[in-house]
Amino acid sequence: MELFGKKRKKKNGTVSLNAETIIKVFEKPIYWHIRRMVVSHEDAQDVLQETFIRIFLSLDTIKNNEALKVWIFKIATNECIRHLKKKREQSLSDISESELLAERLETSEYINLEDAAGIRLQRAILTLSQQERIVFNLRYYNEMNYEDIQRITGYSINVLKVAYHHAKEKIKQELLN
Amino acid sequence: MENNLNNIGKRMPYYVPEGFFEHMHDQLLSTAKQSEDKRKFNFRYKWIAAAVIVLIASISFMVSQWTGKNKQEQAIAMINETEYPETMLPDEELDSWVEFTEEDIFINNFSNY
Repeated sequence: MELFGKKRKKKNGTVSLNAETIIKVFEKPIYWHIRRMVVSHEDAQDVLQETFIRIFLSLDTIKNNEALKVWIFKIATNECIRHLKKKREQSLSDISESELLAERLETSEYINLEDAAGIRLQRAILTLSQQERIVFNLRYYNEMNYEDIQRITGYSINVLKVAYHHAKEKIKQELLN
Repeated sequence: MENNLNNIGKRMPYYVPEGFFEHMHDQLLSTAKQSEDKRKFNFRYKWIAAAVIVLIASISFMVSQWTGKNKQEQAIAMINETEYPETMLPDEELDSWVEFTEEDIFINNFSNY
């Protein structure tokens, strides 16, 4: 796929996407998806760059525009997982991923600590396991259907429904506490 | 939980520096351009590499054919050049062979067939 060619209207009415369009459409949603996973703005910026590098290098493999959103979110999610794994390995202590991210929530820049309710919710979300957090974020914030989440995560729809329900219950308990 | 979430909604305590997305947009476009150039280079490089491999394979094949033919010709030449000594039987032995063939019933009887 020519990344910098002109946008062409195909016979079936869909528009051939180029790099500029992809960035325009997906830059913000992907950034916020990544930010919710890694918490720190600096880390989110790095992961966003890596994500788009991978997108541009393998754009030819995507067969149709309808699957583009799911494919891009899948790449972004995998990059987040890769990044968090690297951070855990670099960390000198035996701190868990949840604890590491909770610490980031308190100390990172570009976090509005005056938004108490927002902080409470994020802190509650960060107590979830990584898989639960991914499912919850994609369902709650991105309002994705289970079929798309299945394509992103590889889990069956039943497992996703259980994970989302479990995540909600855990967050409920945390908020009540 | 639903009431709590309704109150909190989807807002998050996260924000970005001013102008971040505009700056990021330009940076990502530059990244896309570099990726495109890299892909084009890799594509050309693969074709060149494939052509070189085919050329080397062809030359190797031709060389092997030529050396094989040469070896065959050499072998034939060796055979032609080899002088086989003529062995002469002594007279007594020759005579005994002549007598033997005269007395051999198989040779004498079957030669008529």
